[in-house]
Amino acid sequence: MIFGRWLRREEKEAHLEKELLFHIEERVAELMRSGVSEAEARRRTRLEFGTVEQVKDDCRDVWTARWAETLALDIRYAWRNLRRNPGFAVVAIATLALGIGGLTAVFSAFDSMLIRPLPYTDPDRLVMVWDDLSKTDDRTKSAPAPAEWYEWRRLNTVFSDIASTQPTEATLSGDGAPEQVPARNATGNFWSVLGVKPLIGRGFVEEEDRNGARVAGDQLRPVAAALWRVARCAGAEDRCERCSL
Amino acid sequence: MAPPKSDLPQGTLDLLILKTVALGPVHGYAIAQRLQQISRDVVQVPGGSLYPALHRLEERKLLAAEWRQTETGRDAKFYRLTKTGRAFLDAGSARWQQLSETVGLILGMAEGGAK
Repeated sequence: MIFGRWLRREEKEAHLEKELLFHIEERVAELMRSGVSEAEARRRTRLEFGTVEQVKDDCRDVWTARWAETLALDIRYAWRNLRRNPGFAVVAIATLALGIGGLTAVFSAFDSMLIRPLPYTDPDRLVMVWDDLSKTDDRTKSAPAPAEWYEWRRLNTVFSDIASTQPTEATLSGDGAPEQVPARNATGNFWSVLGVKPLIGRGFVEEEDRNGARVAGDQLRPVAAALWRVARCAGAEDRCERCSL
Repeated sequence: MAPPKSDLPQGTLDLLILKTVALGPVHGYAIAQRLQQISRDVVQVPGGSLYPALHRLEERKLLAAEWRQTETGRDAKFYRLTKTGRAFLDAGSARWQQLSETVGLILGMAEGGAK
């Protein structure tokens, strides 16, 4: 079996040790054959040969130097070839760039969706609950009606609290032309369930849920306005002060 | 009288090792022994010179190595000369021969007044 570059480092180390010990043992044996005591033979061998660890270090330096040399040669060779074949170079670089770029994009999404915790207090205790309408409808994931939410909350024994939110649209009017903006209805305990505070202004409190004797859907509306303000207008407060929904 | 310690010129040890190995596959200890015997104890190579040199020559593919049993039944790493090693040795010997002749020629000039 030929021992070449493919030898793994540990094997190389083991072989080096074995090789040096062989040398030392042979020398000691020879000196002893000439009539020297073992202790004296070992002493002389150490003087002639040097310490095993030092010799090992010198050999490792050779490996490292050779490795660096080969690497430098490979890089220079690759560079020359790329210069000589610009077409191939472009394709190779484009392939790498696309590959790395694509992977980075996919990983960033994967990271923010699955790996990094959600930016809320105790994200691992946060769950999403849906209505399952599969028996009467196609939908297995449907947001509950406000009345349902009240019932869930009343009968709840599992969660600390339950908040509800639904997408909606709102009209923003102010100094300029009125604008249709995406918004969300949310219940009064929305902020406390997520455990976060808005960047500007305040969150809303439970009392706002029961503000007046309006129907359930309408009652949630002021909440959506405040939420929109936080999401859209951070850094543009002066403009928002003159807006209303 | 102790033999004078040898200070081999740069690169010479590599040639001496290659030449020794060229005589047939041999392990590190035998290389050191032969160099010492043939040079009549002038060349004494400590392990810290011999083994790094052997490994360097092996890495450069001038030598190839394999583990084999010695006559006494012990495992030893035997080195042999590769084709590249042979070419390197031939070129190196020729260069060395030429250099030593030239240097000898100059150093051997008769001294004395011009006639």
